[in-house]
Amino acid sequence: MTTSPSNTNTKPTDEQRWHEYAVKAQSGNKRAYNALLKEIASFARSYILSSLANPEWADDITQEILISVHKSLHTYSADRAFRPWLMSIIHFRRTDYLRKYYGARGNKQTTLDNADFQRANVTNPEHAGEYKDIEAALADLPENQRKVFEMIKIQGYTAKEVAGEMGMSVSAVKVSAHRTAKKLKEALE
Amino acid sequence: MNEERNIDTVINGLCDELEPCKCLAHPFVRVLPFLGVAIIYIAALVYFIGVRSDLPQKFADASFMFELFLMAFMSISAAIASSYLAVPGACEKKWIIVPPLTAFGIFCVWSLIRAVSEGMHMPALHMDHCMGEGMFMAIIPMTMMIVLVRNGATTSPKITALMNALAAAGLGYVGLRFTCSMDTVGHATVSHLLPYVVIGMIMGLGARKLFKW
Repeated sequence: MTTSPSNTNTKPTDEQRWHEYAVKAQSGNKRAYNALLKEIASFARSYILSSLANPEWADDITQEILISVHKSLHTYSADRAFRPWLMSIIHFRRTDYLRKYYGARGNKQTTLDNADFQRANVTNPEHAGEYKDIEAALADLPENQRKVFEMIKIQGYTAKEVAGEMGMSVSAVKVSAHRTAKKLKEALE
Repeated sequence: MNEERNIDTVINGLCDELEPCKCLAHPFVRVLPFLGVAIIYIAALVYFIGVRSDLPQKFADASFMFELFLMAFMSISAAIASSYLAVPGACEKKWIIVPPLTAFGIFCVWSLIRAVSEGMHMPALHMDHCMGEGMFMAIIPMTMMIVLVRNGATTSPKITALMNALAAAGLGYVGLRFTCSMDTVGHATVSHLLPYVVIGMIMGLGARKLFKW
């Protein structure tokens, strides 16, 4: 089979280039390894960026991906495609990072006055004040009513659980939560 | 800008650390030492514990032989799957976990059919020593499986842990069938298989820590 000149001059694809770099890196070629890691960093960052709630996490995850590629370089086999190997590491590290982040989130509590928190988590800052209005409206409610509303609507307990905790009937809990929601709506309009 | 500098620093650090590395062998090649050592170990244990007296007659029992081959197949295919899953990107070979899971499923259905037709019959006799011997039979295969996986870098730790447990459980079960003369479904399930299921579940829960890299 003959190869046309245009085919031989074709620019190698990412897959071919990365494969070549990885094989050279396995034999200790630092230049190829540097080029590989730089290309992986840029690819991984742009790949994971769209799937993250906070763009700042992308750099942390990218760094972890690079370290993982380094640790597992010996597991790459030259007779296999590079991209599935890399994608598997990218998905694994992203999931791992998010699991750790959301797992630890329960221990991190802050107030809405925290400017760093607002910058990182409030996607629409001009509406940040509305959260404070809700907090203020909730504070004006009678204690029992507020507690029932918070347990059902914020903490996610069922009406039955709240009824057991507060010594009320289930229907009374539902009515209280409904009335509170209505009151809050009126207060905020 | 600052983040780019951080990533560049990480890349430079990793490049400085780079040394020529020996690539992992093909999964089939990596699993051979496991199978070799595990089979010799279990054969030696069976020899020391003592073979059941009715073994020659049992070789003529189709049901007994079917069970042995099924569990041996499950064990070998689970060991091969573990070896594949030990490297990133094994998710493209999802079919690799199908043979051991199918074999385990057939075994469960087979046991259920036997339990319905023959009854469970679960005397306390042999219970303690079967569990103890079962642990002895599985400990080396299980340790070797964990070492085999930790030499790689698995990106699916829970499935890998399940495959490890099936590999060790299959071999241990086969070993126990050579030493224990109690053939009832209840005894085989509770004393021969249940300890491995419990170990497999514990391994599954701790899989991310066990195979952390």
